[in-house]
Amino acid sequence: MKKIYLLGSVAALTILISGCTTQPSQPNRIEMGKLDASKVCKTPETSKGINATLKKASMYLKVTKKDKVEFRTRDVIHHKYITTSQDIALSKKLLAKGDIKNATFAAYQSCVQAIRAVQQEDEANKTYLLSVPK
Amino acid sequence: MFSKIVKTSIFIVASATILVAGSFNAQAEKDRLALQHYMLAKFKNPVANRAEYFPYMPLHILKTQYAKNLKLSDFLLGSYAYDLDARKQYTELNEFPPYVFNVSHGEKLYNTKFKNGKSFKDCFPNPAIKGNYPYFDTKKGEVITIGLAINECRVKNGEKPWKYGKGKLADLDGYFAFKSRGQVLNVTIPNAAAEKAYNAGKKYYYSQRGSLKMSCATCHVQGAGNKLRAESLSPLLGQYNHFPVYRLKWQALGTMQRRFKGCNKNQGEQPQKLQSKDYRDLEYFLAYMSNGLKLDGPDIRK
Repeated sequence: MKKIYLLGSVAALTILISGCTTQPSQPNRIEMGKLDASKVCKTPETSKGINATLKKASMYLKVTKKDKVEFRTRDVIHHKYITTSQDIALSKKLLAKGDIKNATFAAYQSCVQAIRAVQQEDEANKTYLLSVPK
Repeated sequence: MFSKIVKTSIFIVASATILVAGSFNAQAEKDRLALQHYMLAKFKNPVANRAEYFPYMPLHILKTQYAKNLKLSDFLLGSYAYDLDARKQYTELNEFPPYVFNVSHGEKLYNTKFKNGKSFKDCFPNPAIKGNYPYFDTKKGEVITIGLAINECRVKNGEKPWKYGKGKLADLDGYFAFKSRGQVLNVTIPNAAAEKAYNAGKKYYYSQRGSLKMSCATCHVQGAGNKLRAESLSPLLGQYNHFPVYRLKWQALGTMQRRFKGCNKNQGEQPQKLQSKDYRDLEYFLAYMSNGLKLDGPDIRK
């Protein structure tokens, strides 16, 4: 009987912990506005780390696109920037050539830009009236 | 006694309606007058106002290349109103303006019959209609621009809509603008929904956006009169009135919304589809800001 209780409590604890730590498939719009982008998007210099950050970037980009505030840096649309970075991260040849630093930076930028676009929108909603001539 | 009560109630309801109707554009009028005041003050004496408005502009350029004491009507020229050097080039270009071919093509399109035997004449009997656009359609509850009206006419007559922004639509827009020259722009805000559209346009205009975190106002209100590399930035006031424009960069006539797209790209943001709700609201706001000024499109810009 004790074993059943023990097993049950371990299972409940595992579900609770995994529920708290797993990334949701669709990020919360309000919470996204409060994120510390540089911390959330911190990327380890490994193929696994880069892919994980790029997945986060794609997830946040959904909200950015929905709000129609997607960035376009040097004529590259943000979602294309992410897919290109993904291609690099998945190509072992490119990573072996020493491009891992560039890929890490690209993954970090992809993630940060997706979050910052939304945070900038929140900020603009509060401050846009300041620049109207009075 | 009863008739007195009825008459008084009718009077109260009518007065309230008039008061409410008048208040829909109250904030917009404040914004428009404040913008006019700001621009007139800014360009009254650029040398004397350097510290406040042109802190990064070399003094000798302000002294030798900038016009003083601009009037409201001068703003129709955009940056050529104050940039004397660019004005010379503009005047020379206007000796044989490149948009004349587009205007005559627009006239041809206006008179060309659709497959059903009708033509644009049936939708727009008088081609001098630019002064009426954009307007807020109270039935549909949305802003109707001239581009949208042109394509609605085509679809109504069984034709495929044209591509927005350039080509045939821009040429016909150019013909309408040419015929409407001299009309005073009078955009109205008829109800609360229209006021909402105006406010949405205003918010879009003054919000910082894109990876460069710039708003439209960064360049065309606070930045107006300053330079981006070698180019002078044009003021918001009077911008609506000269569109569509023949841009030397495009080597073609283009509509205002095509320019929005370019501005969004410059700000580091993915542009929206032409004639999207946001762009139409933005056009509505821009047009309202230039109310009271004469239409002088099409025109030439760099």
